[in-house]
Amino acid sequence: MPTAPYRAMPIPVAAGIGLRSPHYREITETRPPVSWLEVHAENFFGEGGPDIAWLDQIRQHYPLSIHGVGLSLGSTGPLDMKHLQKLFQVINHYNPGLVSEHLSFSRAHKTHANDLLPLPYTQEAIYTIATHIIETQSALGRRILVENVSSYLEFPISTMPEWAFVGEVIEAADCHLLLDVNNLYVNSVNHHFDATTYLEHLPMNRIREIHLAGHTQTSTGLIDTHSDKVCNEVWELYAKTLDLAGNHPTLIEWDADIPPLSVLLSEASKAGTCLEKHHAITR
Amino acid sequence: MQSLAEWQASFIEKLLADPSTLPAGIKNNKKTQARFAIYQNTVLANQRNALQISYPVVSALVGENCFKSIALAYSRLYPSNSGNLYGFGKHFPEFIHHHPISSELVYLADVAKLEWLFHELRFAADPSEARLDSLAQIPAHELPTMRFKFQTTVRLFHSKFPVGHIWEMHQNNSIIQTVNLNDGPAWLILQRVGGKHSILEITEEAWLFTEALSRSLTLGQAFDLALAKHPEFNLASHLALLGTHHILSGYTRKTT
Repeated sequence: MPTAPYRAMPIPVAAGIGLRSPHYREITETRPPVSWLEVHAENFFGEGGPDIAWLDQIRQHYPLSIHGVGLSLGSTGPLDMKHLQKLFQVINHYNPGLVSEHLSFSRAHKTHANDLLPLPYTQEAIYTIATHIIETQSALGRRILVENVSSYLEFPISTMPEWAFVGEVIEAADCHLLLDVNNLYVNSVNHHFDATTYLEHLPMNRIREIHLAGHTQTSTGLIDTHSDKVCNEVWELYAKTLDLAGNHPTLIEWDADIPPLSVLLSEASKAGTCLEKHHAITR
Repeated sequence: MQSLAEWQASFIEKLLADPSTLPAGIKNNKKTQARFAIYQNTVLANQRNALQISYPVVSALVGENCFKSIALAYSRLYPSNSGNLYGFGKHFPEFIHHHPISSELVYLADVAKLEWLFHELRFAADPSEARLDSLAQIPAHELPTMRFKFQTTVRLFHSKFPVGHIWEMHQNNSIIQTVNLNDGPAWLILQRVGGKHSILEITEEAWLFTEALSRSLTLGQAFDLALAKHPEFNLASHLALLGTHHILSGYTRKTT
């Protein structure tokens, strides 16, 4: 994958959508008025082919954020250098406005779960993931954002609440935060904590992006499925986040049961209205 | 106290193993088992989806439930070893070959092999500009020692079953309604053209010739192999076919 001469396009403080393959053609042909797009890095790890060809066209017209899902920053042992190298190539090719990964682990030794698994909130986990974030930033030659993940389990070995863990990692690694408000809401319900307290303890000056998505309610708890519209409670928490953190680029994520593009655009427009309202209030 | 490395190894081992056991170090309450199962289900669903994307025809042939069960068994035997699921289904054709379903659907493993080649083609480097224009000017005595280069978007495949027809039958707008298993064998060139997959079916001798060229044998050696199979093999028309369909990207001449 060669270096392409895409001009730098910073991610605006506005609403974007996750770009997924069912919408490649429509976005290319109709160029909807969405402020920016985000893709999963691993979908473009190939040497060539249709996915890259579509994104090559789309990237010419939209600011792009690249969101990795497979680097497993929280795993002990060395980082997967082949994966990091591929990530570097994709970033080098598309010249994205933002690059992000997750505060989670997916791998033990060489076995991958291919899921974003929660870490115990311990000093050892902080050291492990912060070291890997620093290595990643050094390899990519740029600062990255890391995202708080949804979780369904609690670990007795944790020595601090999630917000303290997130804050300490970000300060230790000197990276930025991608705050997923849906994940925060899911965790607050599943683990019975106050989402506002969580927000109040985050290093607000480190936030560079916000994610919004839909989840699924079950008798077991809330599951972060990315398969529905953003619910009212998450919209309320989003408004509270903007109150505390100010406006930030906000992304609508939808990964399962992907609806027509118009539904995503309508959700993005709703997020855009929140941003404008908040901007008007704080001016 | 467990180290983080031990804790993670135990977590992932239990995640991929028997659903009824929990890893150590989880706060246990009445919902814990069900919540751990959310992760187990997500992991298996992600891996099954990756197989489904790579093997849509195999999936259609065996049906949703059977595919689910085969995918589960495959995930247990071949755990993922990458953060990118692109290569996850690599061993699936071999797995299908040894699976009891292959005694019933004898062609299934070959359909899987064909689909994996197409999966590879989906991510292969884009084809280069073919450099064959000056082929006609090469002196006749040099022709037998020439070697050809193939486009990155081409794979060769042979099966004793008519797997090309089976694959075609499962594509949108296919005109093939039924496949007779006696219509095999299949001698195929698989290609990615303009982002889509296509199959070129050729004769056995043409395939042997093409396959020899793809192994970097000389034109003379490849021609001999084709002639041994069919004495009337038409070299010029087959080379023209490979050129027309953009199978070849260039050639090298013996310079000494």
